[in-house]
Amino acid sequence: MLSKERFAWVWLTALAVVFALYFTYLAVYADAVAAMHMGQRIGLLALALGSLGIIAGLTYLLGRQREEDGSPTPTDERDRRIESRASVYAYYVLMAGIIIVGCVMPFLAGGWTLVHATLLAIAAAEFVHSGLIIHGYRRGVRV
Amino acid sequence: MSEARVTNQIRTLRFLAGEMTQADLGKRVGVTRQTIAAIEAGKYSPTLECAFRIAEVFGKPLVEVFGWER
Repeated sequence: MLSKERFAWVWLTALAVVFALYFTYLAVYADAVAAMHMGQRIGLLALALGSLGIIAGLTYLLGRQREEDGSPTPTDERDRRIESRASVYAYYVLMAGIIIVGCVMPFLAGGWTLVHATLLAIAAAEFVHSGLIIHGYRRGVRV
Repeated sequence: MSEARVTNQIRTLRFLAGEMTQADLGKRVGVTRQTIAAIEAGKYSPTLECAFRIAEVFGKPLVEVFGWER
């Protein structure tokens, strides 16, 4: 398995686990979370995002693929096409999410609801991005 | 429009070229071994430039290496 595909798998799993834990915690302990100071709530969010950052960093550092001579595996046209296709669809998802969060939701909600909706939009775009990268390496990309 | 796909003779040509490895071919063409494997398996359609480079390595015209199947 190429390091890029491995990274996509880990990132997809990490996103699912971290956001599931974060939003489950918010739902289950809604009263306790509502009573938190702003700093504590920001700290909770930072914990979730920080753990994602650490997972991404470690996966990147440990999973870098090497050639026999020790040099990093170069990116070629197939990698670029897979990345490009994934980025295009992820961009559409992100734009749709941001339009909803930025143009519709301010009339319906505010504060942390907007923050969480933004996070979900970003997570959805990242999900699509990683999913399409995995799909590209597994099932192939044809014209 | 019916489903069409790019076919290729790379596996045969590698065999005829003294069992040239995918890594070897990839190095000469400028792509990774995995990309050559994906092209051989029909999971990736190479760019025109890459296709010409592959044909050049085997000393064959493009149409003898790649085909178009409906």
